Amino acid sequence: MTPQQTIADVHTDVAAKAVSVTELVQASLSRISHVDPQLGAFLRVRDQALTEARAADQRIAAGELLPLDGVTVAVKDNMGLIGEEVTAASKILQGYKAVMTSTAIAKLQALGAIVVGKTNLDEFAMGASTENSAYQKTRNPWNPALVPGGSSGGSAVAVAADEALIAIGSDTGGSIRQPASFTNIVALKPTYGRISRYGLVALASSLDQIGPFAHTVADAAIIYRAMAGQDPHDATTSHRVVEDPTASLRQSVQGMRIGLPKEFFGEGVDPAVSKVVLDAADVYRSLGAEVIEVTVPHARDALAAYYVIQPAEASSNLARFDGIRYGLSDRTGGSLHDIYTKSRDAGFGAEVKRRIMIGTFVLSSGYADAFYGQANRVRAMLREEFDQVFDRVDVLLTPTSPTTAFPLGARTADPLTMYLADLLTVPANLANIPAMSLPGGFAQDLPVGIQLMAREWDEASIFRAGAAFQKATDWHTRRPAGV
Amino acid sequence: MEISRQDIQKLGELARLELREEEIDLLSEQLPKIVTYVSQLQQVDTVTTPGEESTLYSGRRDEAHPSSVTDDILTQAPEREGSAWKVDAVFS
Repeated sequence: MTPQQTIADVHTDVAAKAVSVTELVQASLSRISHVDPQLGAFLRVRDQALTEARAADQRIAAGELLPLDGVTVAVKDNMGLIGEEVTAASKILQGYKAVMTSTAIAKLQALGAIVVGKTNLDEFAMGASTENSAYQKTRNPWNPALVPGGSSGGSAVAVAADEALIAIGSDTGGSIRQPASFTNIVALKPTYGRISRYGLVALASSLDQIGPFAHTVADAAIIYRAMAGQDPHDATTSHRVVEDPTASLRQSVQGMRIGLPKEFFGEGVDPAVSKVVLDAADVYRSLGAEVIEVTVPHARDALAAYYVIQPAEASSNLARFDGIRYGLSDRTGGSLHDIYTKSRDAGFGAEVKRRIMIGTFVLSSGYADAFYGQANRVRAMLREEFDQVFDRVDVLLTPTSPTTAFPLGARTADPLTMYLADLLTVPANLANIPAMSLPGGFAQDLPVGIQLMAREWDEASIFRAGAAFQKATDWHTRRPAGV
Repeated sequence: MEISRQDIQKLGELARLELREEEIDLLSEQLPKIVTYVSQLQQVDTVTTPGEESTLYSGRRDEAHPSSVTDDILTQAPEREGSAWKVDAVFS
């Protein structure tokens, strides 16, 4: 794999037999062995990838070419591949072998893509810096003293440092978009219900959604479409037809209505980041779009609602880690109760325990309606406000993250400052709407992601606006020096 | 918002977390700050908001399908006896 290649380039080369799948996979593995000791993006590299590549080459030689042949994929280690270890970067799942392959990954494999490895994350996807991994730190290729963002930090770095052509992550409150913003790549959180979560280690089930990382909007759209669609194994997936994004990717933004919601600028947002987004708005104006200021009043309460709903759901989901059925089990106590408490104490890290405690508190007798009930009422109002604003505009344009990448260790002592990193990404999860982060420019030599949001099921408008921006700018072609 | 050490211990018990003293100390300091932050939700006037019921699930018939994953799942058991998980005494 050479930098600046797209899926279309790879497909053309493989079809023309200019390069073999084996060579592409070898190039990816070689790049990983060269740069990953410094970056720490991968928890495990798959040796099987080369065997799978040779089988793909034989199939191609026999005349059967698949659309994603030669595409190398890095997968966040909270999605399973049958028979292979999946840890969610937690000690409690160390050595655990998945009993199913995630539908999203299986669909990519069925189209020829090859998984080269499993990437680092914040334990159970709880975090915004990947520092909560029980196993290792991941560094930002733009500056190794900085975090890559999180929780899908490993997947973002794998693409940003050209270790794999694309990557897959999960986004509960920004875990795909924020690391993409910190590393100058594209990431999409689709509409809730678009992509099956079967085989994904659950964090907060009313918010979790799987999505792609890539260098270009077109590649993200291709991977999104390959993973999307109804799955009998995930009752939240929609039967809606997933449209071919090709036409949207080519359509100009002439006449498109782009909204700047004022709640996403100002307090808590670095002015240098806001400036990049306002410059992007000027690009859209120059391309013939209509840019208007709009308001989503309860976006200001989104982070508070999120940090009630998400820990509440997480504490419930993580009740399954009981030391009985799988994972780490401490049997030194002598009673069933001791198995629960000792296994969970030994297996969960500090942030996971903290969220379980918050979740248990907001669901506890006497507080449940004031916190969990109220948070869901605020969520309903927020959804309604987004619904209304999308009567006036086609997409919303905002910063993805309030800041650029911050130094390792800078926010680990104070959980609340780490939570603030999610300020501008959680509204889309609460409203179930699709949102993309794409390279928008730089502030103090660090990448700044711009975020596009659209109405539920309207990924097409995001692809249209995103692709038009990439045609007019070259930010997405910039690569970190020194890796 | 005030959350006492006893509250933290009680929550830990409810959540089946065996918290060590230093963890209780840290959580006694951090949890009130986080709860105070999310308490801003109490200021939002939500009285007129329609129900918060989720309509996300499409639903399906409750039909049994043959499944062959039992053995696979049991391979991950820390301790098993035949086709059952083995646990320590419930009452001790």
